[in-house]
Amino acid sequence: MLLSEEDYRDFSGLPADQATDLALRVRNPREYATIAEKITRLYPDTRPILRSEILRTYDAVFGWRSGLLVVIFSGAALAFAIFAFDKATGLSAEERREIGILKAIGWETSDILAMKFWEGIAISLTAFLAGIILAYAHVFLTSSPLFAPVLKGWSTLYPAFRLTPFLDFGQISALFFLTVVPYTVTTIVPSWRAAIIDPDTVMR
Amino acid sequence: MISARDITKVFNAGRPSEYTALRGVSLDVRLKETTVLKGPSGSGKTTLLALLGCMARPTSGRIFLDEREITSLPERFLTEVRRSTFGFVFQQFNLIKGISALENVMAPAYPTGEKYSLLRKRALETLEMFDLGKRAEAKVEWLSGGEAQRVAIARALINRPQVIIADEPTAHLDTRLAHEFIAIMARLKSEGTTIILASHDPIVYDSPLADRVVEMRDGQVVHEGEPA
Repeated sequence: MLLSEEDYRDFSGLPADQATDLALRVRNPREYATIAEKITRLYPDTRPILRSEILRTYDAVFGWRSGLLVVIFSGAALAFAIFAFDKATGLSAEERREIGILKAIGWETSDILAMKFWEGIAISLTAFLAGIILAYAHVFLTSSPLFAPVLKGWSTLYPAFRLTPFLDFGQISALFFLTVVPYTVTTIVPSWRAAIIDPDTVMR
Repeated sequence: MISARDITKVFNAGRPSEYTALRGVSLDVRLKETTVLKGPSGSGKTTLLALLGCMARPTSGRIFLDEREITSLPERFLTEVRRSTFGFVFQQFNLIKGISALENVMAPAYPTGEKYSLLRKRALETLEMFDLGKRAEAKVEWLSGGEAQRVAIARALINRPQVIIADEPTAHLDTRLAHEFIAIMARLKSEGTTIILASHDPIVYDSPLADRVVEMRDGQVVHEGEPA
């Protein structure tokens, strides 16, 4: 509920010479601490808070939380990088054998590449879409139960707030090109290297 | 007729591990007959099979399929010849793990672009020919040795090949299954399929199935003729 000062005083009966919070502007920043000290001395039941202290507090409260998320994100990004590197640097013996068999039974190199391309697309696109849907449900349908306590704090912001569903297609496109495309490419390259071997390899 | 003329195959040419698998081999394989390549390990049987089946190119020499020279064909055309003319049964069967027997049988025909429902029907019929209809959906890991062998033969037949090529097909089979294999090959031969086998198993080269036995040693043909 938002009230004007006048309405609030009428509503709560707060006298005109009293206030709950006062904002004080001081022209010279070097006098902030002196002024606060004088206020404390004159009015011992008040608690002056400097702007810099508020900023430091918020930084302390939210800074480590964002750091926590950065750590989680870094873990996920590193796992993706390791996974992509593993795919890019080579195929398992079983995958090589499979490609050799397909060549031996009459598949062309282009057939194998097409199969691996669609396989990569199917896996990465499924994972991408599943991730988007789960993230949407997590944030907009269930109010981020995993991250909200970390981001909002445990006691600072009591009022519940529901986020308005919103999709930024720019961000989704960026995620698509950072995940689906590299995964598909890293699947194709080693398959191509394996697919250009002679088909008689499986007979030797 | 499949004719090989003065075929030489060298692996790892120019490297310390250079190895000559075939030395000036010439051979005529008559169609609708069974030719058995016989010889010890390392005699060049598998290499010759691979060359006859368009799986590799000779280092020198030429191969003719029905008087058409195939050794100089670009890879794409060579693959087409391999797919449409030959069916392969490998020593270890080489079935693709993780998919069903039916999918394994259908695999050689996927690149042809045949309608899936028709292909599936044909693959099921082929499996039925070998009493494997009930095992069609089973993963190949779950098949017994005999079943895996029959699936491998069914896969070799899916593109209705003119020629079946089998490399040491009885190497991993007991006597009963080896005889079963010979019986299946005899049936295919009676239907007009050409069969080329590489084996050093007497069950194969002494069987009535063999019309012609080609004995190999050290990459050369040392004897060629009717079975003893």
